[in-house]
Amino acid sequence: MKLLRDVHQEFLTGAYQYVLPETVLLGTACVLFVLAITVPRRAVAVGVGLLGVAGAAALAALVGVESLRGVLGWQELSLFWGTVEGTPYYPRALSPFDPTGPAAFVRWVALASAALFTLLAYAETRDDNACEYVACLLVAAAGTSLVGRANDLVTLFLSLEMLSIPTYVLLYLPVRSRDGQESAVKYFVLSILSSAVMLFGFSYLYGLTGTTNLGAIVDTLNDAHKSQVGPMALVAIVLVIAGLGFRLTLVPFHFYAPDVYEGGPTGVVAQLAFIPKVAGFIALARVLGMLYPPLDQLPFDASGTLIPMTLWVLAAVTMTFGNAFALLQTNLKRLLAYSGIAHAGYMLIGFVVASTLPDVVNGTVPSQVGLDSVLFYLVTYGLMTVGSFAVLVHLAGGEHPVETVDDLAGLAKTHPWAAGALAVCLFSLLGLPLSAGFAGKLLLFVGAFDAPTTGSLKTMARILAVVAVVNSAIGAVYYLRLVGVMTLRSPLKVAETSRGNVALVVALICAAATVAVGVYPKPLADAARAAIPLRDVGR
Amino acid sequence: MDTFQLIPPALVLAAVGVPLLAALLVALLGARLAGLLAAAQLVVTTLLVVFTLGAVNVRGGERGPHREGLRGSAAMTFEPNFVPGDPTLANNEFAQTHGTTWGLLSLGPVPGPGVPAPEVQFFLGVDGLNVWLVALTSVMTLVAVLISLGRVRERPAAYFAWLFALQAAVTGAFLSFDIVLFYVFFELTLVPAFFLIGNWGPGRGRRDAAKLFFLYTLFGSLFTLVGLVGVVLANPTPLHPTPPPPTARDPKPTARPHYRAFTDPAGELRLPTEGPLTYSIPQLMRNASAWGNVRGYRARVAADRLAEADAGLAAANARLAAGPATPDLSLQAAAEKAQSLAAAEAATAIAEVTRGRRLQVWLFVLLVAGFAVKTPIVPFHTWLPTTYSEAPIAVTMLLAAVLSKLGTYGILRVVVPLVPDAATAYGLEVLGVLGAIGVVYGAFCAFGQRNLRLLAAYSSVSHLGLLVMALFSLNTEGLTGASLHMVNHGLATGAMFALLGFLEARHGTMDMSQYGGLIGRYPGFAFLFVLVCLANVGLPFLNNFVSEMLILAGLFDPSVVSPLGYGLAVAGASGIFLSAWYTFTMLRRVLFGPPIAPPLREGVTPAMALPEALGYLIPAALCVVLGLYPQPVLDSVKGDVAVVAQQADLARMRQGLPPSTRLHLPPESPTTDDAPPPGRGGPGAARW
Amino acid sequence: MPIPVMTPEGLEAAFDLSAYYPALIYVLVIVGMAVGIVASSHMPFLKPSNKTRVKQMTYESGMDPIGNARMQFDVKFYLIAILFLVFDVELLFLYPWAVVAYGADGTDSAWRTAFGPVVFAEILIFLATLGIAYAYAWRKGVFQWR
Repeated sequence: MKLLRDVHQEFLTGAYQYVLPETVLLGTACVLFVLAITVPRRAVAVGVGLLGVAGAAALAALVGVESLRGVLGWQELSLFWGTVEGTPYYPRALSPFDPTGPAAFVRWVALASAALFTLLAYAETRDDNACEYVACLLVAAAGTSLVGRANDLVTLFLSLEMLSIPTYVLLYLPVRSRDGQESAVKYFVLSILSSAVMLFGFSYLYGLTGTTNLGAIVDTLNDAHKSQVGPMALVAIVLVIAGLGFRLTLVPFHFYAPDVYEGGPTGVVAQLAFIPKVAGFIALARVLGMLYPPLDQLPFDASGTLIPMTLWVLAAVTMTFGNAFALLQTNLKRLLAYSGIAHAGYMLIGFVVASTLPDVVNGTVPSQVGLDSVLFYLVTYGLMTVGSFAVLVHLAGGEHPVETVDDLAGLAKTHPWAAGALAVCLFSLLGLPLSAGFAGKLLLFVGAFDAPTTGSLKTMARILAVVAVVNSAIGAVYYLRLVGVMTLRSPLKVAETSRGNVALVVALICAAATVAVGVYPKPLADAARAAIPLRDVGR
Repeated sequence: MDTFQLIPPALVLAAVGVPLLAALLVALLGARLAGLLAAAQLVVTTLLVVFTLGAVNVRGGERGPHREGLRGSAAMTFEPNFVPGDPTLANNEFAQTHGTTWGLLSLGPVPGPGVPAPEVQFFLGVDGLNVWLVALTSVMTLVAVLISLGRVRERPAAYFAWLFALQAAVTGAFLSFDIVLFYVFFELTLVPAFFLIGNWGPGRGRRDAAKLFFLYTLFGSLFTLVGLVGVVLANPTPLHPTPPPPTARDPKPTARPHYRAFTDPAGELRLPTEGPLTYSIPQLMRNASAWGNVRGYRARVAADRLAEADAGLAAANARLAAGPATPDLSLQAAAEKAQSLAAAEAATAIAEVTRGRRLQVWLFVLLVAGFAVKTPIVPFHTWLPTTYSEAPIAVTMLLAAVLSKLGTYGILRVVVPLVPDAATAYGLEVLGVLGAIGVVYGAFCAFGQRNLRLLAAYSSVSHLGLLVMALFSLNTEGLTGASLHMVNHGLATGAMFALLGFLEARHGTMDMSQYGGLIGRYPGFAFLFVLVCLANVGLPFLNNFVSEMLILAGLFDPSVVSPLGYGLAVAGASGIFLSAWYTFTMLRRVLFGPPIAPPLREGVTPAMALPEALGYLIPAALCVVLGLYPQPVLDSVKGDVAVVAQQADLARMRQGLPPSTRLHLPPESPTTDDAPPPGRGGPGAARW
Repeated sequence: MPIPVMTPEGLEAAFDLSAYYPALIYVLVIVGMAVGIVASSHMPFLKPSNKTRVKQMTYESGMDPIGNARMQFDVKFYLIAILFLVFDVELLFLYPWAVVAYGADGTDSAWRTAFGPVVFAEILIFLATLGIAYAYAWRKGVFQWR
């Protein structure tokens, strides 16, 4: 029989096994900082960065091979959800990292996006800051990946900061303009503020439960909240949602996004539009206890309506505000910022569905739904948003980069490939069929219509889906305006492209992936579903 | 596996794939290939038509009357032929014909064998309803290519590439048997149409027209998307209430689909349970009918049992009143309890029926929203004048001839089969009336137009109104007429727009007052134009005559005496008369009288070039052919029209209305088949 | 709503304020000292009150204060200050590390065999990272007073 202490040791000393690829990313970042003082070259920076990502990917792939697990002496993941023999303890309440659930999915998303952003860096940086830029990118990617598996308040907060702090540097590095500085400072101050708010919430959680392990926190709160929710727990979760809402650009916390996006360097803004959303949504799911089976109770919600309705309001307000304000924009990056806000609202639909506790029908508990569509939509959103920004990076070569909607006029004639990529991304954001955006929206809407519950919550979920459909129609207006300007008008001036065509290649990769996922979404959807814990695991 | 067996499914794939390939080739290699590629697609479609005629005619006779359908046991459904990915092609163990295994997006875990998986599938196939529309699309695209050759000067390769992309999307929508796939192709038509109108339209308003068309249609079809999702969620596959006993191979077996309610040996009424969702249109059609019948049957059984319990209670009360001095109260109490239980069950059952009907009404409204915009049905036609006058003429032709059919085809393939109760209850009352308004309104608008394009556009609206009425007559004559009229309207209206393109290419204007006496100047054109106009008007021996007569026959349905139907038929007939009025007025002004015409545009020869002439001749000739010999079309749609009509009849019978179709139900034999079981465990129980 | 918590060492008692009395006493002593000093130097009857010009001057480490104290500093000072803070705090971290990881009490041999090498590797990585940061700052010219 294994002693509890042994298990504890295994999971603490063994924690590094779960973060090897991230360690490789951080090591590469260190190497890049050394290179920054010895050979500051753009090509070197991007090459080493890609090598690092490839190494991390290779390790991540090795972790996935079942047969190698025994050879390397790594722990069985099935142990993770079981109890320790002879004790009432779960390893998942001991380990600082959770390698199950969406961890692997998020890791692959982080690695893939790191590769894309590293390529974008080639178009955006100069020799003297390329190494730092790529290094910061890799640290942020490692942070994202770690958020996917953080199982402890400490690791969660550290990985979120590991993602934020390089972003401050990145916002300041490539562009030394007044707007860039304003954007960097604005993001820095507000991000710190949001982190503080979130940390304050975390401190309440620790005070309530006496542990920093999220699995243990969820268990403890579930036990304590069988009938009634303690007010302190509500304060905690409200603070945490507010702190994460900043990263997700949910509506009361969204105000920084347009300004920061407008002033920041485009490649970094592409990252800012995508990476914090991935991290934020996963962190939200984890803190809300949605990744801890058996999921028959919400740790912050005895009645089962409070959290869903909070998220409902946030979702409806976020998507409506985002779309309504995007209609008014003439600056492309501001427009994409508001579009990102709207899409965050769409993704929250999945959270509303995931937080409605299911009815047991015919003795079977329906499998968890909602979060898988969020994961799917995150990927599609990343593809189309990064693709759009990559086109803007590509067209930012000259003295006057493409900034406003009018600057796009006649792009189809002057830069057909860039226009094509941007059009595909915009149609996908619009949700047109055969693009990834349609498949993602379909999954979210079907999930909302088919929420596994009854009564008024089900009705509310359906209303939310209809609100989202109406919002997609509003969104179509401004996306189509961009496409129309690009393809139907004659060019006013020819935009200059950035050096090389790397950014264009990134845009084309994103566009091609958007279409590929749109045409055949099954593999990605299945992967997203596999990343969500089943309800009947454990216990 | 027989290689020959693989040819027709390959043709189905090619019907969508060849235009896509053509778009790519034209974009890469230049516009010269366009004619050749369009002709190649026509060859593919012709082969497909030949194969389909064989398959449909062989099986068409097998579809006999099915009274059993009322309980859902043998409800007929669409049986698409030549489905790529049909498991029988690969000799799969769980072979099911007329279905596919090619999944695109799974939305849930895979259930047991024999139960359709909840996934969006790449489900294409042909049957009698869509094969002629696919053919129409191929013909009209060829015509569009032929009349555009040499006329499109600016980036012709891109123009033809988008034209082929449009063809691929429309063909895909016609061939789809998966509800989401259908929507995907349906929406996808917007993109090529947007670029074609916005880039190659003749006027200055083309950009706004393109945006208006895109957004208006998108807004409508988003509601259709909600409706489609609703239909899917409302019609899960019904499963047998008890799964089969576990075996060694399958320790947790899933229940098989079971489409009807039954009474088990203990006398309990057992209803099927809600199984996994499905996105296949044939399966949804079967489920929709089954759930309606199950609910209706449950309500009838509950009503009968309530009557029985009432009688029992009355008897017990009577016995109590007349009985001995020390009455046996327990008997009376038991009867009272039985009566209250039966009353509760009856109330629940009736509430279920009402709920189902109310839901269907909502779904009907949502579904129709997109199709009504696409067709367009009259109050939703406001995008049409702008779009039709701003689009390049070949695209206007495709919009009128083919894209408008997407709306009507959607009604025929999706709305009527999947929400039959609402379609029978409100279809004719709401959409039929709107169609009638469209017939008359369109005709008067057409008469008032000075612009030839707008005249043709409103004439198209008027004829589409007739088509919509026919779709909701929901009997075999009406539906057959509608199926045929879709093709005929496409050919005749398409030919009319194509011929207007002749004038526009030469003189650059569509203003009617600037033309006159063209018969002397362009005798060949005048001949074809008169022929096509006569076809549009519905002259005997030309194609529209056949379908319009069938439509009117369907509306004058003698088995359902309804003033509404007769009123609509009168409106339809008046539409035919009105169309003669405005068409002949137009012909008189343009072709006859003193010869006037605006000056020729620069670099245009007045003589008809060969490709162009072919472009006018093909649809005109087909108008004559279909007018003289429509029998192949009528024969091939018969079986599938019967399926739709039966679905509607079952819905009518659930609502207590007489079935409107005389053709497919044998004389009523309610005592043996249709009546609820005589009592618990009675002699008839085993059959249920 | 304090909840007893299960930890690997067993049931940990719920939060109990009385456990924090020593801290309270500590705070009281500190506040008392501060108040006492301020009182003894500023109370009208206790403080000596022979003001001279030199005594009224700002104390500046024995130097005569020149000009206004509210002036702009060179941004380089901030860099130096931050670097100092970083290295200072990070070095400070080494002491508790050494005490906790390899101190006489609190750790037993089993713990050391399990965690010892890992913890040692960790501190080496930490120091290496510091070294890289130092080299980076140096080569980037942070220490050059330009």
